[in-house]
Amino acid sequence: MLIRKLALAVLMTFLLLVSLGLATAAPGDVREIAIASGADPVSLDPRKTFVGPGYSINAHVFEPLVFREETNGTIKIVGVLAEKWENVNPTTWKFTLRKNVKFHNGRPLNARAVQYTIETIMAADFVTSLKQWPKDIVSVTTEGDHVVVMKTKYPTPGLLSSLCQVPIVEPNAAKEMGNDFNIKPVGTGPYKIESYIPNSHVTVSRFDGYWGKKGTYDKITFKIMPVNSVRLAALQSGEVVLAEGIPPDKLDVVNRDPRLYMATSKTMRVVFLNLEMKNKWLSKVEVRQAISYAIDRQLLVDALLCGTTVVANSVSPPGTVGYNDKLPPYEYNLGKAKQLLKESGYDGTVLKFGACAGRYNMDKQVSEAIVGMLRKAGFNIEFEAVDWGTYRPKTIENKYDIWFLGQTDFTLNPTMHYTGKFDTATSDIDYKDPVVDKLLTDSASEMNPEARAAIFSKIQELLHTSMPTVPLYYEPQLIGVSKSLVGFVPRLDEYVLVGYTTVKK
Amino acid sequence: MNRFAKKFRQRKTAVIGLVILVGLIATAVFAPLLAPYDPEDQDLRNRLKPPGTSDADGKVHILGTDHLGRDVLSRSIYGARLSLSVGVSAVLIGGTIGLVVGLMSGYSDGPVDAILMRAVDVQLAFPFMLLALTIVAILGPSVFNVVLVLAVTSWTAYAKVVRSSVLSVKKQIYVEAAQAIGASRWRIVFLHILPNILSPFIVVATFQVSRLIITESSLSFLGLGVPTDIATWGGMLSDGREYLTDAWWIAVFPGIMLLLASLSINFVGDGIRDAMDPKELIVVKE
Repeated sequence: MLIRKLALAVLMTFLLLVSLGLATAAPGDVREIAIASGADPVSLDPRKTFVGPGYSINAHVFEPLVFREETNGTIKIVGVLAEKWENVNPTTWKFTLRKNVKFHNGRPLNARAVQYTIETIMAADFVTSLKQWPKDIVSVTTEGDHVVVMKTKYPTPGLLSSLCQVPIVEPNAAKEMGNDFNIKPVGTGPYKIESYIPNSHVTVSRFDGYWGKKGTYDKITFKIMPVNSVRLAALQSGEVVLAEGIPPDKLDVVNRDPRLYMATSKTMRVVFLNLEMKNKWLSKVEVRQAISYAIDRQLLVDALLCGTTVVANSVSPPGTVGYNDKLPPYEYNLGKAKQLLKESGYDGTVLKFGACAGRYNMDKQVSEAIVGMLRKAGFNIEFEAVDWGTYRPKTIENKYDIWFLGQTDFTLNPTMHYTGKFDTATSDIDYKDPVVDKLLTDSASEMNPEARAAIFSKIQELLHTSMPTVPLYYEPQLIGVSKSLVGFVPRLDEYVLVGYTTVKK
Repeated sequence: MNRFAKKFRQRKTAVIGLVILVGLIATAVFAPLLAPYDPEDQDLRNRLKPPGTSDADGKVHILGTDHLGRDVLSRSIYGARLSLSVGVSAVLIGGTIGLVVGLMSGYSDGPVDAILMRAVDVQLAFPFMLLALTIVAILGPSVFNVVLVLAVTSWTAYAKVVRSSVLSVKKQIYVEAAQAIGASRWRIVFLHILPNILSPFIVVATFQVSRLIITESSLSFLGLGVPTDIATWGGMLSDGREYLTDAWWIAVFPGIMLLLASLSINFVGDGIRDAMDPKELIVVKE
């Protein structure tokens, strides 16, 4: 009996696989494509999604008021659902919405949808990690159907940047569907959610009532494949036309394949070492500088990251507001590192070095290499590399003296990064610097973009020598792409957008 | 002892196993002399070099280099040190616990026996790997913690075997005689019973060494074993997994070492078991 059931199950699976195979291998126009995503989005409700690959999927389905547009490495914020906006006064913003925009369920976009989206994210009983984006907004009001007025606590020049991260949802559906809204949420984008099977795939289909340029494909399937080698294998076998997050040392493997290429770009994520100021030795500036001098960043980038990015010269990456391109790249000088360490009186106390394995490109390998470099300079290091789920809580509980992290603000403003690390009140590494504090306070209310950028540049200059964090390089992004996919461009913000690409037969 | 050696020698596989094992132990002991380079010495410019390449500095990597440019041969040699010593020390600790529990439980009937054996049952009912993973996850990776985990999770095997041997031995006339002349419990257990149950214990312990070496490698493979920067076979297998298609040598050589170690110990264990088996002794003519 059991055997018969098993046989039936095997047969069914086989038939299913055959039918799937036929569906994707159909000749003629390519109307359906599959993409390999690195992580499960957990929730597709854009007010909750907090996973990189989830942002990419959601960007096909939802639209924010404004969004980042990249041209040749420079980023500009352009209107999407907002047609125009103005600062009535420093704390009041007025957005005029695009007319004739429809949600996937046929209801029109209006000012109340925007109000609802922002208010629910801010609501105390709504559990989400995204409250940081609208945190400066005190009130959202509507003027008629197409005008939204937002008031902020204080002048908030970074508001537009933050609003890029707030896609608008359909209020009635959100209220009526309850928890199902996590699985099949309703937005205004060129594609709508067809199905979502957690840890398996998300399928989106073209929304024919879209206000702008219609999507190219009938269907896009985002296959969730957390294992690097599985994504690569799926790309090589032609199961998917694009695989995100391919490790840099597979660059050759992909480029050797005549049907594939690797799309690489830098991102706005800076990879750095956190130095805990509570540690007696790391609180000394010469020890911190010794760490920086001991690390051969160029070698890490060339050998381990296969030249897919550039070494850092600042705590902030190029493309962000106030990026200071005048700062020299951090120097590698082993002799100087040893000398500084000697001068500091370092007595060989064990420093605990923590790293995550599998969260960022080559994170474990890079950390191992850095530990080797630090030991060569005379540091006594105890090293541990664990998976992200184990690692992150340990960093929050300050279990390590030196720890590895990659951080991006997603927006163009480095505010979140700076307050989290360098502001005395909120620094998670206990960095105390009154001068930086003062500059941060000034920047928060400086409405003049140039003056604000100048403040950020100044902060970067100060941190270049005081070095509470040791910037290494800017996280590269590597996406394996089939040559049949035309029109795909990697983005600085790591979003993988394929809605308007085409696939040659 | 002579008879044991003779019986042992009759088994070809046991002798081969012993030779390999002695070789591995010698490798572990003389690792600094045998290894051509420092196993921790990174050379990022010469990473993922295939076996037999010599780099710009004139260093020859007989078994190639790994993803950080470390010499695979040197790491495999040093790996023997850690894997063997972890296996043996875990068996020593776990074996001692198991032996004591088994003796106590087997010799004293009643509640002590019942409680100890239920403790063994509870432990056996718990999936071994899950328990090991949990303990390491809480304590954090370190050589000592791994030995502790392996010992704590493996003592039951000895306890069961020792207890059943004690049960049969304590009915023997010489034990009853010792009891009759008023020998103390300790004296009976350690002088009369212990020597007579040692052979099954040693056999179990031998097999446990190879099992624990594999387990240590599994833990290291999962990143929960000894700290990632110490050369171990399991850790090397784990590092090599990502490169199986383009740099097979990183995983293959420590894999072979692991295989040799566990195979040779098992062969030796088989030999010891056969040579110590009293039933076999009758068949063997002097």
